[in-house]
Amino acid sequence: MADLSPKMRRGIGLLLILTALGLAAMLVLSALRDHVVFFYGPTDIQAKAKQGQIVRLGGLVVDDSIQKDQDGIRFQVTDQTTSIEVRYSGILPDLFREGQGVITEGRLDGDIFQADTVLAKHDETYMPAEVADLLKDQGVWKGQE
Amino acid sequence: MFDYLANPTRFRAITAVIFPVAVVMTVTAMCYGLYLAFFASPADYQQGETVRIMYIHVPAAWMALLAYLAMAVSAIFYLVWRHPLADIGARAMAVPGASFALITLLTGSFWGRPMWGTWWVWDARLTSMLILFFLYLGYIALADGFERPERGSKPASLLLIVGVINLPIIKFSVDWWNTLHQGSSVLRFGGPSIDPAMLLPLLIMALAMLGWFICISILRMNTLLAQRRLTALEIRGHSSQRGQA
Amino acid sequence: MSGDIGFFAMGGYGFYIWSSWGAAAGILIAVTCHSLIRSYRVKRQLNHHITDQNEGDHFG
Repeated sequence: MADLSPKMRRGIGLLLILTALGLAAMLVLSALRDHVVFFYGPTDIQAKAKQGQIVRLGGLVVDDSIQKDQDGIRFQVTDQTTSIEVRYSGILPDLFREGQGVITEGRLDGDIFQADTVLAKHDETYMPAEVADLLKDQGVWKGQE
Repeated sequence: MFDYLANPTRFRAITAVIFPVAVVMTVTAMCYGLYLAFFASPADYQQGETVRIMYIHVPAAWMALLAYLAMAVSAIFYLVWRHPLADIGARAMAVPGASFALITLLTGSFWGRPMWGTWWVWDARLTSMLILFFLYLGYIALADGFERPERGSKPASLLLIVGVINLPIIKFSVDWWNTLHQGSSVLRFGGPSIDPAMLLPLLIMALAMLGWFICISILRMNTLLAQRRLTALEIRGHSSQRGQA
Repeated sequence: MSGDIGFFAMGGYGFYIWSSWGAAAGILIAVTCHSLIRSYRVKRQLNHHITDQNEGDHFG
């Protein structure tokens, strides 16, 4: 070590700090893995959530499942394995529609999820409406309706 | 190579060439980008006209990350090679970098309200982006918080380097965790999932912001260099006056 | 005027779109002006300083 120039010593010092920090960050992140999750899918909710506990449920709104009545709206949220019925009365975001992603905060009441808020989640696809129509016509549509 | 660039006189000579080129690039790309973003690009099939917010939101987010990375690289050069020009570079990029982070947060909010139904949520992507903005503010406070600015250089550079950990967290937060924010559209496996008609205005606006960032950083570096010369002259002036008395 | 149609209405999302672009433009313009003003001020001070010292050299 004694023969190293100050430049080298500072460089090695910095490298050591960075390695230590990187390791620490990886440990913290892997420990936080479950806590940083913003929402759970229907399968997780049914398996883990306690009755009355405030949780966030995320998934896709099932096609043709939206029903409106005096009490508000009810719809099914699915992760393709499990579906949960959600009830909600309040303002819906503009992107809320069948087949779209949705994240609702609320609690499990029996088999039904009583939602206090409903947020829409969209995917990373962007295209003009004409292109979407064209893809549907050609039968190569892979996205949501 | 860094020693070659680090000479202030040579730096001024090089930037005297780059600066006008960057100004022309910024103005041209900005005009073309505005035209594309508002007149020559279609509405989105799901999100309608709000997709036009993307043309400012996404380039600003890229630039916020890029500016921070450039500052952190400068900080390494400063801490290891101790060259003041690297420190001045990081200082010059701080305010434009912070503005990109702020623009990302504000435009994201104005986009999230109509589409998601909320101005803000504490998901991993949004929170890590807010932390980036605070890292910028922390750096500015540390670097400028001392009466003699050089005293803040070392702690501020260290903060920059520590904060680099946040960059991959921001980028991959949407893959690692469930977030309200959607995944990456451009820089992802399998190519962009954006229609070319929307990708072009996005890239042109990114070019405009990159140009603006280069212009402002050069301008602020020159100001900081002039400031240091001024301080040096003042100190010399004072000591020579004292010598005469 | 006519609700959702027209360039400035942006299909009913005008408020959000113009607020976004307005905020971004405001920030970019403010930082540009701040950088330019500081540059001019420091350069003027530096020029004053240099000419002052040259005069001092002449008469001193």
